[in-house]
Amino acid sequence: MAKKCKMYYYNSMETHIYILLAMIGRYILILVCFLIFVAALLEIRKAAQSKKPLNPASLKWNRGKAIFDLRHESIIGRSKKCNIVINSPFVKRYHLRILEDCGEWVIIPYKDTKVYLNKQFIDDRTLLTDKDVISFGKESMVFMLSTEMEEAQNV
Amino acid sequence: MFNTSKHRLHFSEIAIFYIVGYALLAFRNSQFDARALLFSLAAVLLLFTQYIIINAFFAEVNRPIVIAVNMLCAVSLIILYRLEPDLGIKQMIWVALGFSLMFVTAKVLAKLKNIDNRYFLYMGTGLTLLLITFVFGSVVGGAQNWIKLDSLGISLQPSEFVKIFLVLAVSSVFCKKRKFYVYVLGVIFTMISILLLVLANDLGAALLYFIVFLFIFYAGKNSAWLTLSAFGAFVLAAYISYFLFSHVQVRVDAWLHPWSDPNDRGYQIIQGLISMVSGGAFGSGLGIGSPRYVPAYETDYIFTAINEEMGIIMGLLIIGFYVIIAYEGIKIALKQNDSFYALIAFGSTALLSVQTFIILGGILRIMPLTGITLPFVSYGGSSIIISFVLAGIILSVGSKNSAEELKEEDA
Repeated sequence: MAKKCKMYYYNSMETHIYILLAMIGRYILILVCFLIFVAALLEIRKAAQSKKPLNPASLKWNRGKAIFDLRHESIIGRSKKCNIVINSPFVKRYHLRILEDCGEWVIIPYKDTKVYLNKQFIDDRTLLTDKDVISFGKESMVFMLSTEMEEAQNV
Repeated sequence: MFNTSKHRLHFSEIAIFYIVGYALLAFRNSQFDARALLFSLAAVLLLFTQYIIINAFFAEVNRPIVIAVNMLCAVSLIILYRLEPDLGIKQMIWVALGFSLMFVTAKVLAKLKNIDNRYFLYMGTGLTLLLITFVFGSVVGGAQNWIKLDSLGISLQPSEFVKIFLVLAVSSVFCKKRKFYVYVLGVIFTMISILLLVLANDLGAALLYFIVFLFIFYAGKNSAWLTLSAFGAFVLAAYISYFLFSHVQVRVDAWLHPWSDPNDRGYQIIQGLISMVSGGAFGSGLGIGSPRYVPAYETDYIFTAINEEMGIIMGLLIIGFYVIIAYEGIKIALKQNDSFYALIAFGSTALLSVQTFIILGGILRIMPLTGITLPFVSYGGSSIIISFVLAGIILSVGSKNSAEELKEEDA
């Protein structure tokens, strides 16, 4: 009895092997594509997570009466490209950076800028502690770690 | 392997995808097709070059977008090689060119000065390109949209190139407070472009231009009333055009009642639908289905061929990659402080996403079919190049405020 083949115009052995390969191959292709898709989604999630600092902190600006939540890395200055923009002629275009290094907060002034930490001049990477007063360009801000913030709110 | 800081590009997995696909295609004919394996080598080389370039110049580039674009091109190259090997070769060349353009744009755009004020330049160039097509263009597939360069053997579609100038022009006009006549000029420019496209019978591009204009306008001016009234005027114009143009009537009839004329008007839609589902969830297998029964199977209707041979799941994954591009693009636009860069990032994202929605909507009978291409996946030099440039714009805005750049600038 002749076996009815689905593709009756293919009649060579090589083509039957190819059909088998293609039918296996389609699952492999979909699997690999799916894994790459999931990987891309995980990249998105990773990027979203790295922006939140491990140890949350914020800057309280007295003159502007604003509280800035600090990101993993914040650049402060007059330029609109900065994360925190201070529109004052006494502030340089890029004045200072505050970033988190494995849970520790660090302040790094830019070259040729005057930044004072608790009234002391700093010109290099310096560790920040809670309630430090950062002064630059006639502005002053208080660095606050988040746990203290919550306590202040509860009070 | 391929580890760059904490973010991976997953190029090794994409390379596996290429190799599996091409290796399969190599065994398709009774003679072993060594060219397919050469292709997989070329694809791996492409990935490797990207890896080197990204490591050297683009440490902060947006990873998900690069992954998504690479995957879309991978699927496109494999399916095109299966459909017509010559198209596969040409598409590979376009993709290589496209990636280079994308990286060049990504690097150069952020460094250009004063680009947010040159609205006259953008509008002028855009209109010139459209007028050239209108006057000198040849008709292909019912739309007078192409400029054939027979000496080079390629055809260009200037309405694709004008897309970039549309985004740049509308973004630069509406990014800050300008004199009223500039706003008027911006709107007039868009209207004239749309009119030229409608007259040239490229209704899909006209729709795309207007929707993108609305998006950028609302993002720039934030006026719900104006946007809604513009949209209302558009709906009115579209409704009137149904009665004015027989072409529009044909499209709408084919959309609503394809089975009333299955051999002529509804043919493409019906064939597309049947072809898409005939592969099942996992596809019929590369080279086993019959995608060629669908007209325009390598350009507008390539999504059908992918669904038939690689499965509905692959089709959903491709939509997922477009969603990734849209999501990351909007995220990038939202992070910007400078409104011009925010608008061009958002405009480019909107353009790619709306274009995808329009063509997929037409294929799936959500809306009338129009003759535009699926970005990154359809065969077509102009389409691919412009899609890559738009992706380059998004990437350049995305890496604009990176800490590296600011370290270079200093105080």
